[in-house]
Amino acid sequence: MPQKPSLLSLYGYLPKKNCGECEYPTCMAFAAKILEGKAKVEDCPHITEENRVKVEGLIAAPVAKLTFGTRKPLVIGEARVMHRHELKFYNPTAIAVELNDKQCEADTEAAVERALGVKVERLGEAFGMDSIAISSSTEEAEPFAKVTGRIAKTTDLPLILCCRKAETLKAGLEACGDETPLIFTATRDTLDQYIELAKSHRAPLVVADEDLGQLRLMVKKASDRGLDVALHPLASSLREVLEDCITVRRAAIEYGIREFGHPIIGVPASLVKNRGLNDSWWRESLVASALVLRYADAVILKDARIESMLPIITLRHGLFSDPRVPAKVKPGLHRLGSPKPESPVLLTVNYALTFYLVSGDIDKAGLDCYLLVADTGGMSVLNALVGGQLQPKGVAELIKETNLKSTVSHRRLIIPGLAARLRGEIEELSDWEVLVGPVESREIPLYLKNAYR
Amino acid sequence: MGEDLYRLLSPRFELPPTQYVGRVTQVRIGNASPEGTRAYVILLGGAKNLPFFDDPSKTGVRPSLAMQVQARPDNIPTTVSTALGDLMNDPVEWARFCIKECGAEAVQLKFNVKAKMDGDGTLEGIKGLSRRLVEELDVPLIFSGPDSKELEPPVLEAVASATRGERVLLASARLDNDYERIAKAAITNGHVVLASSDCDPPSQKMLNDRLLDIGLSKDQLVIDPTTAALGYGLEYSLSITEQIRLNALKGDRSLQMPVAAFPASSWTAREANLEGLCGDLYSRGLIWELTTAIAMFLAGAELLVMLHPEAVRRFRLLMGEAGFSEPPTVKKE
Repeated sequence: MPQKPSLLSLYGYLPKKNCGECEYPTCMAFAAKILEGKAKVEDCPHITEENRVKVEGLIAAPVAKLTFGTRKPLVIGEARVMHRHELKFYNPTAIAVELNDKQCEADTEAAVERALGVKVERLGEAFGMDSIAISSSTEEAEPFAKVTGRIAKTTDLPLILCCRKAETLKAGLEACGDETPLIFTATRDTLDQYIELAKSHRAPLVVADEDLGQLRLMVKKASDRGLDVALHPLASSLREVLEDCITVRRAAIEYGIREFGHPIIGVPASLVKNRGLNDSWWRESLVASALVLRYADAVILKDARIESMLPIITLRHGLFSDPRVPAKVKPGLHRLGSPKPESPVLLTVNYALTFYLVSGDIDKAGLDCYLLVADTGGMSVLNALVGGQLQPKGVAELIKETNLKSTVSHRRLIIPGLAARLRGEIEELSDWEVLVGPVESREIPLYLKNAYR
Repeated sequence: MGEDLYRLLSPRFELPPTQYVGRVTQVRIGNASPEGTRAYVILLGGAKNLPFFDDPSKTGVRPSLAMQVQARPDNIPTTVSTALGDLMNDPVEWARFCIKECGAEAVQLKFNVKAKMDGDGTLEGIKGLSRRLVEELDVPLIFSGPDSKELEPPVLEAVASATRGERVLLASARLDNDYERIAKAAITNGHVVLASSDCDPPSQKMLNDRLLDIGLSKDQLVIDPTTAALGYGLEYSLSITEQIRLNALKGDRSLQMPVAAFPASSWTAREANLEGLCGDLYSRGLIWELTTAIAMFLAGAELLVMLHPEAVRRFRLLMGEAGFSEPPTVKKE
């Protein structure tokens, strides 16, 4: 199993001048910070180019980085660990929707707009489609080029060209112009031609095969020619593809096999039987989620309806969050339902779980109210009370900052039951009437109905 | 030419699966005759690796599926209550429907009694209902108490004596309830205990150790690290399940038990039950429970407790299509 880079081996490549120009007192300290990911080797003004490259190699992720798209470059890859809790997962799985050249020939722009219209919000951030894949239905160069060109004009999003023949690919690449797409995908028979086309257009290339041994040879061939490569293991079932993805990722991370150290691209629909059935979007969605969970760096979806995208994006968001850092929501005033000036105001903290539990309980009861979210650095109510991140002074300031008195017609703030002891001081500092609500968020609806009035 | 030869001769690329020193204990839920009256029992556990990390010939079994039935249904989302209709008035009929029409292997009966226990919410009523379920259904059973630290132990104790000999799963022993009382009831009556922790591996380990110290054997414990709803912390549940499983495989005997997950809890998410959020509510609810189910399966869970009949149906369908075989059950000869 490849060892983690040792501090001493990294230090070996540094100038050992201890000059301090990198902002660390000694080269040893600098080396330690590089290993932590907190310093960059470029910060050293004295390191030789040769040694800089050596250091980059030493700390490089076992899975290569791959970038495609010119106007809005999309980065995938760079996985370092098999399990999220060992460190974290990098570069959330990119989601692309496939547009077929024949199906969207008539109204290409509208198809693109529909794809771009899928929006999901998580913790104050908006997510949507990361890329558009264009597939050739009949391997005719002309419609493929035409539709590709139109799509490239309609959106800046990075593109993936999906076709089986070199002639089709050539036409598609030319239609992209300066926009560098990802090429999906070379097979055993088309590898040589696809490599040439990828080289001439400087595009990254996906290679596909059902045999991992063959795949390894194909990757070697393509990357020996200087191309950025991604892998697409062909399988006939979800079970097979999961086994393949795990084998590929273990080969890269646990065994250091370079040919497998590249991003994996998944196509959920190709693993789903009964594809013909109208109601099979849920199969594709579940397979996509399984691929996101097990090492796919990008997935190409045929059906991008919101009911499918919502769980995939939600799952991805949580999976790629840093387990070492508590999940936080944006502090400030949040609206639940359609609150009016008379609606109640409840204080809570910006720890994501707390926020979602409280807002979830209120939503379920169909109530309209305001949530005043205090910045406790992501600490829960209890932890913030013990650790001092939730203070009466901070609450009073938050009321001022959010201009709460202009939003609501009353002057009453409900605080969580656990924070009861802060009531008096918050009242003093803010001039608002402070009521102590329940301890459990699930009792909030009952409290608002009975006790609050 | 040399390359083509290499292609012809190169064997299929395989990596040896990691050899771990530990494995997950096999736990049986249900007793066939003569000890009990189940027509079949379910076997959980036995894993030597994470799902799909093992030798391909050893992977490919889907988790066991149980469905949740509630006595005095409480907080059932509209999508689910519409599907169940009148079944919700009779837990035994509801349970029978789960087995016959949805293909679940087991049923979880949740007692939603409140602090004031009356009518069939008294301990006698609970015993009566437990006995009725045992008599009318011959499948492995799970019983859980209400969401109350104070009420869980007496309720589970009552169930334990009423179902003596059937080797049911009693849910749950927790660090902050009278777990000793629950453990003793399980030992006396020959049941299995669900040890539930709050997404915290050290707490899980501590709880398991205490339960083993009281006298439960390793094959009388199932781990529940808590299944947070998708979007409300599911990634914590997934990471912790993997961590617990890896520690077990690396030799931590306190954690070498199968894991139970509760996709039924995904219905608390606003995405699963809020009308007008986006798209179609029915589809959203189903995919929420289904995604939670497949995620916990991939993390290592051997038992999934689900709620919506259609979610169970679709999960089984997909598992079959995806190349997974049915989980092991041992039928009465």
